[in-house]
Amino acid sequence: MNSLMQDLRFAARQLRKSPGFAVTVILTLGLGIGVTTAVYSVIQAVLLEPLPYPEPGRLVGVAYSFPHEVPNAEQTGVAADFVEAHARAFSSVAVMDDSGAQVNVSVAGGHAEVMSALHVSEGYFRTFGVAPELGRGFLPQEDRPGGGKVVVLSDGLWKRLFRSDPSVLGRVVRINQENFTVVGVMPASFRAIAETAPGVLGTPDVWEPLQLGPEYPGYDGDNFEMIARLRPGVTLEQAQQELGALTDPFYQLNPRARQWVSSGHEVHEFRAWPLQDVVVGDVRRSMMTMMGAVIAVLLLACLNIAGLMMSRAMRRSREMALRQAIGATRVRMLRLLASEGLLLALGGGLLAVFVARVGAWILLHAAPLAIPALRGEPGIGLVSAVVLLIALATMGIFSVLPGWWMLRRQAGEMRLGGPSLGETISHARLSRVLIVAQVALAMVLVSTASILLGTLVKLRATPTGIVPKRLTVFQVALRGERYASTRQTTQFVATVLDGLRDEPGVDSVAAVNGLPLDRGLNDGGSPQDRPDLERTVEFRAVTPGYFRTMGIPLLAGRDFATSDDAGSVPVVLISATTAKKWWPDRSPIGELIRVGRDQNRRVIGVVADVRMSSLTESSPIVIYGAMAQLTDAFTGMMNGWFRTSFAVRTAADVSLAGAVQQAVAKADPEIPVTRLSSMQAVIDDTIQEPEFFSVVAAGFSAFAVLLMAIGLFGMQSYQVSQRTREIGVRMALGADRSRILGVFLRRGVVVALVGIVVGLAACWWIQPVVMHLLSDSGVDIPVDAARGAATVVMNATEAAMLAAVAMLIAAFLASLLPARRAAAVEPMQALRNE
Amino acid sequence: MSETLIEIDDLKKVFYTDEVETHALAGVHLTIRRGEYVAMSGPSGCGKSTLLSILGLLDTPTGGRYLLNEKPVENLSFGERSRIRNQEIGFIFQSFNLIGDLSVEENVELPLTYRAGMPSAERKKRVKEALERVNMGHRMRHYPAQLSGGQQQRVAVARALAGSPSILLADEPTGNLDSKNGEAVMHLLADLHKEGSTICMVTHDSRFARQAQREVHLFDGKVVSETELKKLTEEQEG
Repeated sequence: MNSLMQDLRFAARQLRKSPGFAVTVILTLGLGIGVTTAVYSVIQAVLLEPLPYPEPGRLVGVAYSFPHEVPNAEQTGVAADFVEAHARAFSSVAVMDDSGAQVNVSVAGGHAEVMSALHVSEGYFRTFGVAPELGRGFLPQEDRPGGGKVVVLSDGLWKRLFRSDPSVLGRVVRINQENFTVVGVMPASFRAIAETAPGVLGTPDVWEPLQLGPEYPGYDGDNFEMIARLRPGVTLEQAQQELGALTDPFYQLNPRARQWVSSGHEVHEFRAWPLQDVVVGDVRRSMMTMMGAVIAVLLLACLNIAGLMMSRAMRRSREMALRQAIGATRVRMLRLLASEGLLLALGGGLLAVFVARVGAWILLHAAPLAIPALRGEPGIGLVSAVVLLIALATMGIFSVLPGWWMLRRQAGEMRLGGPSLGETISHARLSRVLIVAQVALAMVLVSTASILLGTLVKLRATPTGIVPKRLTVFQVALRGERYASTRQTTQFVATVLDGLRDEPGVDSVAAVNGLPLDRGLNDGGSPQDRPDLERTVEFRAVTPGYFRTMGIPLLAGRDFATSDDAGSVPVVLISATTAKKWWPDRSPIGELIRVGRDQNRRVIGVVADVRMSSLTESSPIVIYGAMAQLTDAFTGMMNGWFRTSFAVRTAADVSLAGAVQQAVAKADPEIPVTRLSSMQAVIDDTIQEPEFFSVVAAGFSAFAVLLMAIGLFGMQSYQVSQRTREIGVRMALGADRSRILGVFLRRGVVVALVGIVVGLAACWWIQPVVMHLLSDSGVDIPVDAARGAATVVMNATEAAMLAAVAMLIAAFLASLLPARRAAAVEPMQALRNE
Repeated sequence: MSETLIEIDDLKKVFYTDEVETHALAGVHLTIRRGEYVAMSGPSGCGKSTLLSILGLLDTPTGGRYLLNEKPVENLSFGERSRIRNQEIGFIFQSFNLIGDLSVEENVELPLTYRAGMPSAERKKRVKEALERVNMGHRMRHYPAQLSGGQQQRVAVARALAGSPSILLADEPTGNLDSKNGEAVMHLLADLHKEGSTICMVTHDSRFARQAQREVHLFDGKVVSETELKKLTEEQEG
C-alpha cells in the first residue's frame, strides 16, 4: 500500500512537471468521453428505454400515410373515424388534434395566460392506461360534436392555478373566453406527447374533448394523430393485416379522399407502428447521426491519447532503463505508469461527468430538436459510474500498453543513453499511423460541418421576398364564439391597427392569418374556369397595407383598399408564380379563382413571390384575400386553426412592447399577446434546427481539428527532441536553418496529406448521411433537380476540398512550432554528446 | 611548401555557465596546410573537441582569428557557415551519426542534396564512388542498423568524402570501435591522406595519433609541445 501511494505521489509530481501534457490528456479524455456520454444518455432515455406507460409494448401509432414514410401516427379526421369504427385489433383508440393549440386561459376573472391545450377523444386516457389522479376523463357524450365544455388539467396547472386544491372538480376555467368545467386532474407522473409550442414536444396544460365530426375544422386534412392499444393477444402484424384490409373499403366509401393523398402510383394506406418508433420517428436519424459524430470524436480522442501516452512512455525510456538497472521489476514499472494513467483518468473522468450532464441538458432542453420529454433527466449516479469506468479503462489501456511495449523492447535495445539516430523508426511509424487516422477522422467531421455550415450560409442568403428589417410582428389567438364572425374579428383587428398606427416611429401596420414562414392555411384552389388546374394553394387573409408593410412589391393591378369589404365584390391578389402558372400568356387581372369550397374571387393584382413555408421551397401558389371579405364560416375556421398575426414597420429601431400590449388590451383585455418578436426572428426560427446541427458539427470538427493538431504537434515535438542529434548532424553536413525547417514542416504536411487522402474516401460516403440530417431538420432538398439541390446544399466536393485545406493549414501550423524549434537547434549543442 | 588551408591565431573560447567562466581555448595558434594529416591529442577537457568544432564552423570562437582558405570565417552568418561546411568540410564522428531511417546510399547522398544545383545523376555518381572508395559499394541499399560498427564508420567516412571537401575533420573516429575495426578505419584515413586529403583528427589514443603526419598537443586550452604535455600531465596527476 505504501509503495502504491509512493507511485501515486511520484506520478502526481511527474504530471505537475508536465502541465501541458496533463491538461491536454484530461481535456481530451473529458470532452471525448463526456460528449459521447451526453448523446448516448439522451439516446438511451429517448430511443431505448420503454415508454412510461403500462404495457408500453401494446401501444401503437396508427397512421394514414404513404408506405415509405417514417413511423408516424398522422390521420385525417375522416380516416380516424373510419378506423375507430371498423378496426377490431385495438382495445381502445385515442385521436388527438395535432395542431398544438395555444389557448387563452383564465380563472375567476384573472388575466388570461397563453397555455397549451390538447384536444383528445374520450379513449385517450384509457389508451395510455393512465387514469386522472382526481376526478375522471371524458365521457362518450362529452366527446360528441356539441358535447359538454369540460376540461382535464395537468398536475402542473392544478398546482399553479388552484394551489393543489382537492375541491377543484366542478370549478370553472375560462378558455378562449368560454367557461369549461374541470372534471379531472392528471397525475404528475403522466407525461404526454404534444406540441406545446412550435417545435417543442411535451405535456400540455389542459386536455379538452376532441368532439370530432365532419364539421370539425380540418376534418378532411391530416390534422390528427391516432394512438391505439392492441387487444391482449393481438400482435402488431395482425393489427397491420387488419388495417391493410381496411384501405380499399375506406376509399370505396370516401372516393374524394384518394384525390388528395396520391403521389404517382402510391396512395395513403393505414399503417401501424410501435408507439416507441412513432415518438422518436422525427429525431431517431438525427440522434443516431449525432451519435456517429461523437463516436468519431471519441475515437479521435483515443487515438490522440494513445499517441501522447506512447510519446511520453518513450520519453521516459531512460528513466525506466535506470529503474530496471537498479532492480525494479516490470510489474512495478507498469504500476508506476498505470498510476499516472489513474490520476489522468480521474481528472478526465470527473470532467467527462460534468460535460455529460451539461451536454445532456443542452440536448434535452436547449437544442431545437423535437425530443419527446417523456422522462426526467438521465440519472447522474449510473452515468457518472459508467463514465469513470470508461475513463479508467481508456487510461488503463493507453498507459500500460505503451509501457509494456517499451519494456519489451528494453531488454534488447534500450540503453541509458537513449535511442540513437537509428532506433526511432518503429515508434515513428506507429505515431504516423495514429496521426493519419486522426487526420482522416477529422476530415470527415470537417467535411460534414462544411456541408452543414455552407448550407446554412446559403439558407441565410436565400431571399424571403419580404424586407424583415425594422419589422416587428406579434400574434393573438382569436378563439371561441366571440370571434366566430368576420365582423367581430375585423373589429378587433381594426382597433389594434388603429392603436398602433399613430405610435411614434410607426410607418405602417397590417394583419394577416399566417405570416410568411409560419403556419398558414393551404387548401385546393384553381382558376374558376379551369378546375383541372386545381392544386394546393397557400391562402392568406390580409388587411389593406399588408404588402407595403411586409415590403412585398406590387407587380401589377392594385392593392386591397378599405372599400374591399363584406359588401363589395370578393377580390384577391395573387403571387407572380400563380399568375405565371395559371395564366402564362395573359394578364390575370380580372380573372376568377376559387379556393376550397369558398366563393369565387376576382383577381385585382399581382405581387412578388414570397417564401411561405420554408426557405428551400420552390415558389408556391399563393392567394391573398381581403380579411374583411371572408365568410363567417371561413373566419371561424381560420381563427380556430391559426393565430392572427400583426406586422408593424417602423422608421427606426424602437421597442413596441408597451404599445402592442396597450393596443391589444384596448381591443380586448382578455386576449394575451404572444410571440412578440422581429420578423427576422421568425425567419431564423425556420432554420434553427439546421443551425443547431451546423453549430454542433462545427464544434465537433473544431475539437477534432484541435485534437489532430495537438497529436501532430506532440508527434513533431517528440520527433524534434528525439532527432536533435540528427539535426546537429544535418547541420554539420551543411544544412542551413531553412532546410531543417523544411524537413520538419514537410514531414508534418506529408503525414496530413496521407490522412487527407484516406479521409477523402470517407467524405464521399458521408454525404448521403448529411443529406438525411438536413432533410430531417426541415431543409427540403429538391430530389428531382440536381440544380435545385446545388443552390441550397453545399456541394460535397467543395466541402471535401474545404476540409482538406483546413487540415493542411492545421497540419502546417501544428508542425510550424516544432519545426522552428528544430531549426533553432545549435549544432554544437546537438552534437555535444560526441 | 604547400599552401595554407587553415590558419588560426590567438583563438579563444569561453563558456559561461551560471557565474562560472570556463576557458576551453585560451589563445590557440595553429596552421594546417593543404594535404596535411594532423592529429590533435590531449587529456579530457583540454579543448580538442571545442577546437575541432570551431575548425568545422559548428561553433564560433569568443576571440582570435580564423582563416579558412585565406578567408576570415569567424564572423560569418549561419547560412554562410552552412554553405562552407557543406562544400569545404567533411565530418567523421565518434558514433558515426548515420541517420537510421535513411539507407546507406541516402546517408552518403545527404550532404550533396544540400548543394543547390547539383544534378541527381552527379550525386548518384559521387555516392557510388565514395562508397566504393571505402569498400562499402555493395551495401548501398542497407540501413545503418544492418551494419557493424566498423562498416557504419566507413559509410560515415564515405559521407564525409562524397562532397570532395577541403578537409576531413574526424572526432575520435575509432572511439566506438573495437581495435580491429579501429585499425581498419585508421588505415582508411591513412590511404585517404596518401591520396591527397587533408585530415585533422582528434584522438586521445597515442597509437593512432602517431600515425598522423603531425601531432598537436593541447592542455588547458593551449597548444603545448609533447615534452610540456608530459610534464603538465605528471604535475596534474601528482
